[in-house]
Amino acid sequence: MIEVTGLSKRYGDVVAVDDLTFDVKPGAVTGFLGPNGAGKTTTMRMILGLDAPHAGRARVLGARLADLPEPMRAVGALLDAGAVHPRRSARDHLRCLALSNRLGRRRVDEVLDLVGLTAVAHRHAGGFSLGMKQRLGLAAALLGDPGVLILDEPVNGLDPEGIVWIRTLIRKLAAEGRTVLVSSHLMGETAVTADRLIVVARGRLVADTTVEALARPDGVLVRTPEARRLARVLVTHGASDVDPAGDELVVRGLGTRRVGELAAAEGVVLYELTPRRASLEEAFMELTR
Amino acid sequence: MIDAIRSEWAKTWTTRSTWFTLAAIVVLGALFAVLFGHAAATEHARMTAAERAAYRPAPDFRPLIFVQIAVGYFGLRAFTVEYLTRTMALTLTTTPRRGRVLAAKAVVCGGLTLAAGAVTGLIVVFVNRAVLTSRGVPVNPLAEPGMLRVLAGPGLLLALLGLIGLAVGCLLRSTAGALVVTIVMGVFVPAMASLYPEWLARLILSYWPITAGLRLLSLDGDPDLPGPAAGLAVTCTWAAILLAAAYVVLRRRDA
Repeated sequence: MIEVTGLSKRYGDVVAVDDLTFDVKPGAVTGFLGPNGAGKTTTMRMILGLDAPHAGRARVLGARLADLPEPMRAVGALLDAGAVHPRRSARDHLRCLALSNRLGRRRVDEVLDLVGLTAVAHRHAGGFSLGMKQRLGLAAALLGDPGVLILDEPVNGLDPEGIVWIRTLIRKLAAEGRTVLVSSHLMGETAVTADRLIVVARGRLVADTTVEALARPDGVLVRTPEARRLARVLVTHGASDVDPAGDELVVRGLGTRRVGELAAAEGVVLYELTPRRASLEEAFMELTR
Repeated sequence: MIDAIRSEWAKTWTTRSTWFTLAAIVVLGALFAVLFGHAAATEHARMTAAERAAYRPAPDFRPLIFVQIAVGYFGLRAFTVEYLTRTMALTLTTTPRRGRVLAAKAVVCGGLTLAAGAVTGLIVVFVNRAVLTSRGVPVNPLAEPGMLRVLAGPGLLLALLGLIGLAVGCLLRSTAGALVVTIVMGVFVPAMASLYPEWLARLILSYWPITAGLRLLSLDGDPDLPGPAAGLAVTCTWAAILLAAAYVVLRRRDA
């Protein structure tokens, strides 16, 4: 559970985060979306107590992070995969973090195994690819087996196989009842992982919604050589908005099944009959404009 | 707290530069003990009979001027490397009590510089004596009053200088910047004492961290300068003030 209330942050005259209020519930993946520079990372840093807000507050499990006795057991964060000492081995990197929260060697080996880095754990993290560093960062976040996960752009730098792997892992972690907040500037990527979406632009909350609500059906696309005739028929049968252009029609107010039946009854040939969905990217750009 | 210390201890020993820096502390001590020993022997050979009669042998701790740079670097690294590699955010999310992070780093840095400094102090004294003896220059008796303090003191002094380095590293965050401050504070300011007006030179000899601290290692009993305990107290005060400043800044600053 993460609660953000009236959170604001300025850098000089620039307002990075502006009166942001939302909460992130357990058992679901919450996507934190916004264009670059929208204040996503700053918000996550304030939730983690790294940066101090000018106004408002952020609570994790009802407390400030600094008030949690062994914070790694409550919250795991991946903010910056490049944050490793280049001359320290992956295992030592995790070991140093584990010691600070009384976590044992066995747990270090478990998370290394979980992210698939066991074979390279003895190697210096400085030589890792961005994808391997993302896996190491995720291992660090998971060390304390925390109920809350905060992941900033975890997909960055992963190859297609890695992307599928991390998607599956994130969904599994949420299904286990954890609170998962995942930021991204890519709508398409987030839509396939997240249940809920929190969309920010220029530091402000612009939408707190779900993927389904954002991608709701938007009319039926019909292609036919008799567009005008079919349009007249459909209007008399309850279509609210028919807009013929050449051999194409976009029909609102009737489903695909009804449009097909009416066309058959009238003997109109159809080349195409498709439910149209609003493009998530378009919806995202509309929201964040 | 103990967990934070264990984490810092592990961080310290899982990078090779820790070994290099600790080795540099000891090697610099031995090297400059040889150089200063020969310089002192040459000087002694040129003395007039009257000067020789007035010559009062005492341990030569000038090598520590150079050793303290390595010690300061050892201290400042504990913070600057974390800022350089951006691991500070990880450290502060896993140990969000920032005072605890500072204290843990201070314990590890203080402990290791105390140990390395104590070893280096003994090496400096005995290498220097060996060089002087080999060139026929008299050395003071080990049983002389105050020698126990002089032999045990360098570890303490260098640990305090290490903690000052740690605080400077925390305040400045950049290795280069903090190292420049360490060298200017530790070497340039005292080395140029002869250029200053007398009141300023006296002020620096009495109240500057390294020069006041070196009073702990002196046998001259100069009534115009602080005694061993007073000199040590001055250096302790510097370390305490800088660590307090580091604590305030670390708590308030965005990580």
